[in-house]
Amino acid sequence: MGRMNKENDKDNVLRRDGNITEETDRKLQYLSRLTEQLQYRPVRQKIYREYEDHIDDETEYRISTGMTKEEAVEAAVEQMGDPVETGKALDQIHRPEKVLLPWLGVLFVLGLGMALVYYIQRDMQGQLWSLVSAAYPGRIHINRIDLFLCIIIFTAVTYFSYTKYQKFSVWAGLVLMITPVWYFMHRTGMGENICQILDDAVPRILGGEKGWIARRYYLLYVPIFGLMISYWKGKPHQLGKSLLAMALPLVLSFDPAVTDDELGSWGNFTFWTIALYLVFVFVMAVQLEIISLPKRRTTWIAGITFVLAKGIYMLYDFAVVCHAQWSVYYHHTGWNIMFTFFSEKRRQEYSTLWKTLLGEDSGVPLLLFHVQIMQGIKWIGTSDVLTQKLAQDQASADQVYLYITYGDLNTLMAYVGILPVVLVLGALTAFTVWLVRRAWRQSNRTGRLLGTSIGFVILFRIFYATAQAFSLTPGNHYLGLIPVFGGIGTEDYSGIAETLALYGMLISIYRYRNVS
Amino acid sequence: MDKSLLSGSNTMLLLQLLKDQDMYGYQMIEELRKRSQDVFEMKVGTLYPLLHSLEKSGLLQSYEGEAAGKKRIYYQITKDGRQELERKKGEWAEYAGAVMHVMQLQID
Repeated sequence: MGRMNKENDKDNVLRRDGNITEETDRKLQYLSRLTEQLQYRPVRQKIYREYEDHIDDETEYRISTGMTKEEAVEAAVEQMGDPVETGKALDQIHRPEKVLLPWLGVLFVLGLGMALVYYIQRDMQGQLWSLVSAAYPGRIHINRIDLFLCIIIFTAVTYFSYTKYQKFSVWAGLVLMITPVWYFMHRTGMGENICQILDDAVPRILGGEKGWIARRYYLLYVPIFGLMISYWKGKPHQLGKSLLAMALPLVLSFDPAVTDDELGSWGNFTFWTIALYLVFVFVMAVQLEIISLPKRRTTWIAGITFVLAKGIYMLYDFAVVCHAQWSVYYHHTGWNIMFTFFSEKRRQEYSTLWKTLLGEDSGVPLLLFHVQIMQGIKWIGTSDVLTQKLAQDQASADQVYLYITYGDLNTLMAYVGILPVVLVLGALTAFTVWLVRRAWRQSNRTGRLLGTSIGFVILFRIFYATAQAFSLTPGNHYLGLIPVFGGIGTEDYSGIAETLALYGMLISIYRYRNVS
Repeated sequence: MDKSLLSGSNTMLLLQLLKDQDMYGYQMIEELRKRSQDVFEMKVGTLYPLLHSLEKSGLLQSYEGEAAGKKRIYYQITKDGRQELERKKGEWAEYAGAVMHVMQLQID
């Protein structure tokens, strides 16, 4: 408070008088008592300044009416009222919201996921367990250290005011936009040594797939883009443009990726990510007047063009898949899963095609396994075909391991049944919407935008992963992580950390609404 | 004047002041006094908590401006604030009309 007194004492009129000390002291006493009542320290300076300016204005006026300086200051402070009472009233307005309940809520869901992991592993018996655990000894367990780290990350993000990193949003956005380029280099093998270190950094600490930042978290671009636009615009943003910024990464996420074996899922993802990156850089250059074009029209045209291009591509992709010529690239992605689920005829065609193209039918049992678990049966010990294949095939054991350890929703549904999982996802959705609505209730437009976009990302992933598990949408394992449930296995605590960070940010936006 | 008559309409009065121009706190008290011909004298202890509360509700927003060479925190009414003002004006008109009828008063 001493530092604040020196920096904020702008009372130049009083400085010229020999009795300065007493008058200034009277004012400072009032201001100190007022701001002491504010429990949230970051708001104290602003309020201190506002009240100090008011006292100074009142003092100047009273001096102009003929009062002495001492009388003027005394009267000015007197008419300010009781500092304690006023301070308490301000404290009620500026105190951060209590968020213990949402914090516990998220941890409860996390605990639910961990309990499922434990019971799935405990129930795994016989040949299936021995096969998978032989392939990955000691890996199927709950990593307590990683779990603890994830909770620390969640708590830290929750209780750290989001407004503090708002000013870094532009830099964060620029760094994030580089990641598609990095990912392209990684996937094509260019600059492998450089990429490897960055690529593996987070998975090394917390586990998970390689290419953690660049690869499947492009949905994080949504809140980052929104934050960048809000900050860079300098004034309340236009909701239309922000929604457009959110829509672009969303469009990118629909990547059926099974049209051509050469392109493949990663090729398509890389292509569209780079395209989005270039479009965004172009739009930014126009907005910053580096390129001289109409700003509003260019943004809308660029966005709509991108969406249309991707839409046309998806239609083309769907048409190709319908002909069942190239649809065997990745067994659980693509529109195929929809057809095989609904059609026995299609399953037979798929099996024949697989044998024709690859000379074997190793993909078929896993596909049938997929269909079986869609019917909600317990897979452990009942999937005879799968068990047989596992006995022969290390690659198949790899796939089963993936299902278990990456928190595949299908596995969860097969284990506990469809209804419980749907109920839990419904509750998670309602909880997320509740958080977003609370985050929305603030005058800070950046907070509103960021809260909305983060909530959008979470809800979209819940929706899409659920639809994918029911084979209602093309598969895409970049979106396969259900918040918190995702990565409940042994490998992907980076997925849990990411989801908890998203929830933490959402809770932080609610907690620190209008406290800046 | 009975201060309780003023307290219920503080929000409406502040929003009305800010509808025409942005102001800082001290300016608002002076302007309110002037326009009401010294009938209304809002206390500082009431003003700033109310302003901050209205800002938190999204009816106002603050920014740093300059007046006579000094930096001040100015308040500006938002779109939501304008809507709220219209709503409160409607409520006040209804209330005032009802009082007038009960008291059998007429406006000359």
